Amino acid sequence: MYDRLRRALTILLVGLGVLLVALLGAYWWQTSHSPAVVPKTTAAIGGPFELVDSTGRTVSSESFRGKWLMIYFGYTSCPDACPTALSDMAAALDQLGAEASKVQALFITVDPERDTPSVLADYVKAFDPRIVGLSGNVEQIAAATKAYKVYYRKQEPEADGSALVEHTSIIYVMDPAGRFVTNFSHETAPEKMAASLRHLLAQS
Amino acid sequence: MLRTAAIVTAFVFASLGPALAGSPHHPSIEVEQPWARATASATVGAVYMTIHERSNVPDKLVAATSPVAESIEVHAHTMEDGVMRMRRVTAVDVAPSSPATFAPGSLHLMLVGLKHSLVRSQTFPLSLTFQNAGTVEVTVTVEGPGAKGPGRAAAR
Repeated sequence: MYDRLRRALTILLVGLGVLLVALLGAYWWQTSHSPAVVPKTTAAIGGPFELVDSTGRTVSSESFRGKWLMIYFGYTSCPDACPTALSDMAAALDQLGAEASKVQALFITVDPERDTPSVLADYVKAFDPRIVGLSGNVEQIAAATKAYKVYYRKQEPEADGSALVEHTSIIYVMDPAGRFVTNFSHETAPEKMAASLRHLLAQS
Repeated sequence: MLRTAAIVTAFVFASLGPALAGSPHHPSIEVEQPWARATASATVGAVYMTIHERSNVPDKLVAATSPVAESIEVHAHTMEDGVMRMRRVTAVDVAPSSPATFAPGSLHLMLVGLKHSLVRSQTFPLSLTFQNAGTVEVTVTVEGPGAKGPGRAAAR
């Protein structure tokens, strides 16, 4: 009798073990195949904005209709993440070749006090002349970041009085009608960005 | 016995190779290819490198200074729910088989209060202070503003 019981328990344990492995496998598969960070309320991402370009001219989100947009929010005193994202966006545009003309890359500052339109212009052109830097007054920036659900927070000042800004580090892709389509984390490889964009361009 | 000696000697000579690549010879600390990104008008900059501990004694990077900046801090990046957060780190461990890697997206030396912009192709001195090894002087090469690594300029 104990033999039978022991055998039943063994089968049960083996069965549970297999189930556990299967569950772990499914979890691992899912997490390694899940898309780049997706904001929680994707349907509500985006919206009208009014900002200022490098020439000091006010531009609205309407000005970009007809083009696919890659939008990254950051600031020029960002030591690491922003240069990486801008460099990757530039590389993705390069890889798109002629199709890059259908895509507009925007860099919107979360630090309007320091990042005036001309500071931004100087900054973005070091990465790619096609990237447009947008600034604005504090209200305009607040409205744009709210529309894109971008979190940003200025930190305590450093020794030199400058301050770092914690911020959402995501590249938003909007379609020619201004609707949110997808996003890339700032660590997405340029090849992957270009491939996704090419796919979207082909479908439209 | 002879073969062991030969192998050991070969290893010793092999490990001297990287030590000659840009950092002064130091008994235990080897700093590999320190590089920085070019800056525009920003008052902060970032320096990256890999630090190897070549002796058997674990060490710690505890301070850094450079004439190009008022001060230098070490920061680590963490991405939490899509938000880029930087945390100041007061010391970085460097253990015998565990080099400390400073690279875009993770650890970096943040130059605070840059006295002038960093221009691509230029170099500047950097002093790294370790708990055991003392101060190691290195020369940092400035790469492009969006560079991902040393000697490769911009990623494009």
